[in-house]
Amino acid sequence: MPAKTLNSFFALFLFFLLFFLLPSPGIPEETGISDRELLENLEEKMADISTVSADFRQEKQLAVLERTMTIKGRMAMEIPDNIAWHVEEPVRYRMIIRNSQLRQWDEDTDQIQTLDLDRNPVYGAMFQQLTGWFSGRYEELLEHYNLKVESIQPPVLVFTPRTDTMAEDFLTSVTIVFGEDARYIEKIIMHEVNDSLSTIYFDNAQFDKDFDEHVWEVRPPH
Amino acid sequence: MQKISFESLFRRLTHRPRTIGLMLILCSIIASVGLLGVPFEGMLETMLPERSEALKTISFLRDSHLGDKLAVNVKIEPEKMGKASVLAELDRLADRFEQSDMIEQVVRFPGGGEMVENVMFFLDHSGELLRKDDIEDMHEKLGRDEIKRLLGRWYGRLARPEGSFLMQILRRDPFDISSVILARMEALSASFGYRAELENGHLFHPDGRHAMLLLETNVPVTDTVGSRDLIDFSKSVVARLPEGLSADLIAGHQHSVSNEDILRRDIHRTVIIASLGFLVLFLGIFKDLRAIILFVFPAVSVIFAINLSALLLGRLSYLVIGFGAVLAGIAVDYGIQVYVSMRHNSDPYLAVKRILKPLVLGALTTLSVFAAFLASAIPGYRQLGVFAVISITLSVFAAIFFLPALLKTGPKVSPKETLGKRLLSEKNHVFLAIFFLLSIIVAIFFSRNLQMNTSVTQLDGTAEQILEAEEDFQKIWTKNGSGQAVAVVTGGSYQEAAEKNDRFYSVLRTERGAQFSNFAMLWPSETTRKRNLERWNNFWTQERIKQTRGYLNEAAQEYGFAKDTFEPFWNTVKNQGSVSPRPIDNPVFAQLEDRFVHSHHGQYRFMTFFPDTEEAGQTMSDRAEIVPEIFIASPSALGKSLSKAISSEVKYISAIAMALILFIVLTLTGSIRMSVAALTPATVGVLWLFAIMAITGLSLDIANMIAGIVVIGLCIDYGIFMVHGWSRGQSVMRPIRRAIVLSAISTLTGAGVLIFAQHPALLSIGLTLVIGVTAGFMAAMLAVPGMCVLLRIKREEAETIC
Repeated sequence: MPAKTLNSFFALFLFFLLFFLLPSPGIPEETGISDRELLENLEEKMADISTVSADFRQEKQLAVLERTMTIKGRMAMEIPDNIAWHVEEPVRYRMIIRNSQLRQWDEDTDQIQTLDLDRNPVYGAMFQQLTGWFSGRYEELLEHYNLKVESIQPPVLVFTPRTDTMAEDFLTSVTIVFGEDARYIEKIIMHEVNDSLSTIYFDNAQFDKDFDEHVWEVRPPH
Repeated sequence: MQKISFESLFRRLTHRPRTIGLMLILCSIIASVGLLGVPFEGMLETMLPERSEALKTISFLRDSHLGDKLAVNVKIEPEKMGKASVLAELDRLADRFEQSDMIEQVVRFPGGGEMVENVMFFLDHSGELLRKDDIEDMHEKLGRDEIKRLLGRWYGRLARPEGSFLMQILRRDPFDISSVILARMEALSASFGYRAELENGHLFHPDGRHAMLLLETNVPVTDTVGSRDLIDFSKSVVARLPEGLSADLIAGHQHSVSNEDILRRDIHRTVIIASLGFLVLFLGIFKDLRAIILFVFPAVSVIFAINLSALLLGRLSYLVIGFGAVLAGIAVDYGIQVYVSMRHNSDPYLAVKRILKPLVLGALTTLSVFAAFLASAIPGYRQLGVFAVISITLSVFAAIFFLPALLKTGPKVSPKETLGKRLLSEKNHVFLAIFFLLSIIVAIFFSRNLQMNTSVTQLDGTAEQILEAEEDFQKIWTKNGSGQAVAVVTGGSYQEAAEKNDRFYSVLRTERGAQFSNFAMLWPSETTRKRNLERWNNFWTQERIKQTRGYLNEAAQEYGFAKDTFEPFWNTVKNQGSVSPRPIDNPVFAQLEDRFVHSHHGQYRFMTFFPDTEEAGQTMSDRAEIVPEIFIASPSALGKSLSKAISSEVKYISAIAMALILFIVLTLTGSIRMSVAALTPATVGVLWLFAIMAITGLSLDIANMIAGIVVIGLCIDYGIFMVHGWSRGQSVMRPIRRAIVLSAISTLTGAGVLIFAQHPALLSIGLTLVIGVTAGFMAAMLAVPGMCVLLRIKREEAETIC
């Protein structure tokens, strides 16, 4: 399988994950605001957050599996561009993106794979977009996706890829559901073009806390 | 029938000045109008030896790489334009290009999902693509424990963020057979040598600030008119890009257009400067308005010669035409000799008769030099030979028969005692001759360090702006050290060429550590694919299918895979009954085939790319010997082959020219000693030229080697006239010296104007001629009289020359 295609998909996944996992500062009660204003509001108030971590549970319904696959783990992020994705079940797996480098490890092979993001345009573009998000450049996201606000309070946002974009090849839609208090993301629902459905639930979110250095180790301590 | 003597013919013509004047005007008009219809060419190949490796390499590189392609290097300012807008603009740009009939198509690349499907095609045909050793490796993957381990790994991969996307691969390729094919595809793709990444079907640079559009055009690089239209159209298209985007065009067509523009500009410039120079020279020295006619005859002769040469040869190189000013400078010498002689003799016939033999002898030696070019294997040299022979013949004829009719004889010039004359006094003759003889030894010493520049860029006068854009393009898009050479296998049909290529590939595979990319790695010939498929079908026996299915189902159950998960793979195993035709609609295949297989004049060429290093080139050459008819084109080896080809060409032409010159001089003088004296300026001219070039760091190149040979022909003229003057005493020597000075100045004017040329070839020719002719002229004036003394040439004996 061409690595670039996989990378594209992977990049999209990360993009949505990171984009929406960040806490919402709370959305005003007024309903008269536009979609764009809503995003701008989110942008304005998220600018102060420096770190976020959360437990996650991902339920994957794949056509090739007779039962739903449940993946459990914890993610951590140092804004703007350091991310740790730790999977504990069903197979231990770690992905660390730090200092423009992506490294991943899995229990099965016990091998570490490294990817230089500067040399990978897809990841590079993704992180550029992420940086844009944190620095208030929402326009970039809306260039690739159509936004539909299903609910203002709590916010439920549905993104569908625009025609002729890379995302269109892989995704049907991405739905972001915020918690009741609109403080952080409750779940992300990803519909993919191959009839797969993936729902990621987030829990126990913590903000602006310093991380242990082990978080950034790709091979977990025994 | 009455016999027409030279005298009667001469006197008849000189009594009809009006008729001659009218003829001159008529000829000028006809020749000038004729120029409009002369087909000119600016191709590099004209200046390379026919059938040489250098020509083959240059022609091949031109035909095979960017010959029919145009690259648009789009520069993006991300701060001004977002990615989606850039993508939309690139599509718009492609659409605008495709509106022209000159653009066959914009090369389009498949997008993400489409790309996967296109790649999957190769997986679905793995039976015909996998080799014997691949099948042997596959055998090891099909044990019970191996399959269980494999599915466990797949399950883990599905849990990763990109897992759901891997499903379709898992279904079609649980045994990871594709990794072999994909690795080969990747190796072939890497041979492109560009740092390009695909995004939504567009080529982007990893820096996100550049994109590339590739266009296929039906305009050959050799078509300068078409190239100009194509470049003008392309410039108008990229000019419409919005703010935030700009673009450079990269195409061989730009070289054709730019070379033509620069050569045209150079020719115009040099002709104007030379004309003004000649006018100032003649009017200033002779103070006679009629002296203008001296220049008119050679000018008309040169224009006439362009017409005649084009009629004979079909077309003429701009580089050869650039030599026109030099030829005018040479041709005017004959008129000067006639004019000066006439100013010392009241009877035109006697004036011409007095210098007729040395004039004809000088003309013959010069003609013999240019005639030697006719035997050259370089088309450009042959063109120069024809052009020069016609120009000089017409000029000599006009100088002898027409010029005297239009000129009045003037008063005798009274000699003044000057430093020059004191230097030329007889007591200094021997001393000066010895000085020049010694200088020859010194010049030989320094000439040993003369370097040869074999770069073909010497013949390329493309504008700096275009070269900078290309350098920029190379820096941005080319991977470091990705210079590549290519080995080419040719066949009369696709199948024949593909089979030869298979043989070459099988030989290369045995070479340990060899770096190369060959299309047979992925897509061998139909014959080989049939053999592969037979092997695949023999491998997948009913028994093996049953056993492997059993192991796979067992492991699948354990991990919870659905029952029909692997059916696509089993369908692939079963359905590979016959080899598939070339999937030309598959963009991945089409792009790779376009890179590795070219159709050229009804033949098919299969390329093998390898690093353009001496070591790799040697390995490839050794392997190529095993499979016959393989041509290797190595840009780095081009210099060597060019040096070899041009050197042998120049030696060949020089030998013919020298043989002709010696024959003519010896026959017409009948004296070895006089011939030696007459050849002294040519010897000094060439050797001083080489020494000065070596000392000043100039090098011999493809262009100025012609000029080196011309220096010999010109300097011999001076030698012949000086020996003639010596033999006839002071009264004859004085006007001859004066004529030689004027001839040299006029030749240097014609050659010197090339120093104002922008084209490197013309500039190089100009410099060489100026140095060589100056040295030869000095030797003629200062050394020849002493040589005559040293060689004991009697004045009476020399009378025979006239």
